Amino acid sequence: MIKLDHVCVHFPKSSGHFIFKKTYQQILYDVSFDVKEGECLGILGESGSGKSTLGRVICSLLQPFKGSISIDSVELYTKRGALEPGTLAVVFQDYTTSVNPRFTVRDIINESFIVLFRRTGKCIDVEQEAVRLLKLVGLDEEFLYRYPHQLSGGQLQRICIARAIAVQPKVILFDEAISSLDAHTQVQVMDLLKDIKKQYNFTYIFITHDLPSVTYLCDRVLFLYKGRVEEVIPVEDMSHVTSDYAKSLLHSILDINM
Amino acid sequence: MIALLMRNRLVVGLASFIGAIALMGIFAPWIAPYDPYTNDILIKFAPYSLEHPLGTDHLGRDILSRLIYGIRPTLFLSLLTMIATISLGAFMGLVSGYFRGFLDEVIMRLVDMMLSFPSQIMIFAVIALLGVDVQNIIIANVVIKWAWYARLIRTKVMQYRDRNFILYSRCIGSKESFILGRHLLPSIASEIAVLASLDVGWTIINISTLSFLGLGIQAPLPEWGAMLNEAKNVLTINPMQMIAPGVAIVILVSAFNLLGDAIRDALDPKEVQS
Repeated sequence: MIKLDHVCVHFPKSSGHFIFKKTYQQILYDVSFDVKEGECLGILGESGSGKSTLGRVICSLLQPFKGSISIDSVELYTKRGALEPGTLAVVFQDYTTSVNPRFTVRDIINESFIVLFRRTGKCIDVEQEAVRLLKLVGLDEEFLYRYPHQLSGGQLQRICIARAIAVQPKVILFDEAISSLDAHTQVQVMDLLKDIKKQYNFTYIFITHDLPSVTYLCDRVLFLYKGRVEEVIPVEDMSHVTSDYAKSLLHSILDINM
Repeated sequence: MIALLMRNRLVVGLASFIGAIALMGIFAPWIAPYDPYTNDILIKFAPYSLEHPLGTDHLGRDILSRLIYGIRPTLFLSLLTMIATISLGAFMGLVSGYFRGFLDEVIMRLVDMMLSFPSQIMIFAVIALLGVDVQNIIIANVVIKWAWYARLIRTKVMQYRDRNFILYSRCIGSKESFILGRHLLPSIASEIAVLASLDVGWTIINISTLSFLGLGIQAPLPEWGAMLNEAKNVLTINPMQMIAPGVAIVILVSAFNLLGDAIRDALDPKEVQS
């Protein structure tokens, strides 16, 4: 479904400008993996490992320097508008900036409906659909005309999830989507995500630094360390990791849990 | 945004003051006590009196009536100029700030070019080139000033361009027109409002300056700058003639500048949160 092939990303360094030559800092080295349809892949890495950069590459927001990426065998970054609008939706970590503060909840969800309409040409009753989605994420219709600053963090993150579902995408990317919520809300949201996945057969890519949430939600896990893929392993086989980084990561967490 | 502005007393006060002046301009034929063109040489240089509250000028025309009729070219021309300038500047700023790349380079180098000339001199040059005419004044002002606004608005757009809600829109493939029109433009609307009201003050002074130098609105038409020009010729005989148009310009320009500051304070993001 999603296929990354030898993706390399580098940024020009802010320091070290020569007059004619820029120096670059490489963020991702030769990242290749694939995600099957209906699967949930967890991308696990510490901060600075390039996992958010990887997310942006998949979102078609950042063109890789080398390598190719395709969703549903449609190559990204080849020409504008190659990918159908609304194939991929994203939920960000920072819920305070991920919605337009001047939009009501209805407008926020409506933006996704506009994209859906462009893709499928299907007419939908915005109010009714929005209320249905709100109910799906555990909110009710009284939230419809509220502004983002009138919602709590957990509620806002649910709105972001509702908005992502509203596009009816094939893939939803979660970029540390639940890391900034408290533990109790995290579990609630993860249960919610599990339910939704069963209902719609979405493919999830779940970027996080939090191992327990990966084991709770994901089918497979990818360890990213300093821009390189260390290991991709099914969650059930987590205890049999072979790479050094994955081992040390697991040990550090297990030690804390003991 | 409008509801927020209505809560601020200074904004409402200044806006209604400017609105009242605009209404006086619109209904000038009913408000002005005399015709602004009828001259009566017998009563020239009349002092302030009940008949002629602000006296008469060197041709015996009632200054108050001329002042009221003068609102039309002064205020409405500058509003028109401001709208044209800001629209062009905002459009260029949005496009260059959002799309970046080659387009941005082209627009910004053009802006650099415009900004490297002293603006007042450039306006004189453009008018000298096109001829003295009302529409040429507007063209000259727009051509010279849009670059300032394009640059300011571009900076603002770049702040919003990498906000998550715009990234989300780009990621799910919303149309660019939607992102620019519904996300970016409302986000920078408050900046534009401040710039616009400050710009009107600048344009009023500019048009009056041009008229004062004889490059703007021409003699019989009552315009504040042109009235100052006429008063200048008789400065030694009747200095009082200069006071009315001069004070009127100062008051109107200060009102617009204060309004700009008040709008900025009222739309301060810290107060938006509450």
